[in-house]
Amino acid sequence: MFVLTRKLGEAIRIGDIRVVVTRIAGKQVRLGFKTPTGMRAYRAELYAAIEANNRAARRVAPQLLDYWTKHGNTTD
Amino acid sequence: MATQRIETAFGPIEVRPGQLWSIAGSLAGFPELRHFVLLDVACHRPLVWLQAIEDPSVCFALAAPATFSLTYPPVPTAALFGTPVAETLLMLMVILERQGKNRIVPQPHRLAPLCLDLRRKRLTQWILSNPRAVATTTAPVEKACLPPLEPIAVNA
Repeated sequence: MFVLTRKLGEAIRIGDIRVVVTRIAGKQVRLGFKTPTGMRAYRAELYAAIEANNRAARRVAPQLLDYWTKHGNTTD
Repeated sequence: MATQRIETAFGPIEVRPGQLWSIAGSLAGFPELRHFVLLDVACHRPLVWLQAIEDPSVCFALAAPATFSLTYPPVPTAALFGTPVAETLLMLMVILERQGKNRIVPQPHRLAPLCLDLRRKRLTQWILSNPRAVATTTAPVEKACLPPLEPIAVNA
């Protein structure tokens, strides 16, 4: 892993992405991102959860949806 | 116009170029998928299926947010698509399975709806970092109808 040390207000560049340290408070660091249009940044744990849900969604069984469309959007 | 024969979760179909959807950015977990078609299975309405062209085994079930009584804040289309998309935007939920008390039940992927630009045939996934941005309406929800997508009809 490539490691850099930065102070408050300092930045790094990753290609077209500029990352700035905007606040340091205790054990938390706030980062600002300037990205090219259309490029988005997410918390890693959120993106991992979205990936996992997307992968799970590819396996939704049509039989389940048959039941649902016949019985409506009931819960359990 | 030349058609293309593709494999889908419901068998092979013929697709015209105008029926292909491309993705803006990438779909989380599936960076290799670039093109899709929308499929309409009559007995699954009001759901539609999003079939990946590059991988026939990937086929997502989609439904309108109103199906689950969900409402969303305005979509940041310029950030998502690189250009503002106003009147031609449609949002659809990816359907997941959840274990209910007595059976498996469908559940919407609340934090990552798909946004479709109907005019340009482009789609992208909007990832929300704040769950509280998604509201559940208590107003009566009309039975969701098939959105104006002109999906390809297939048999189950």
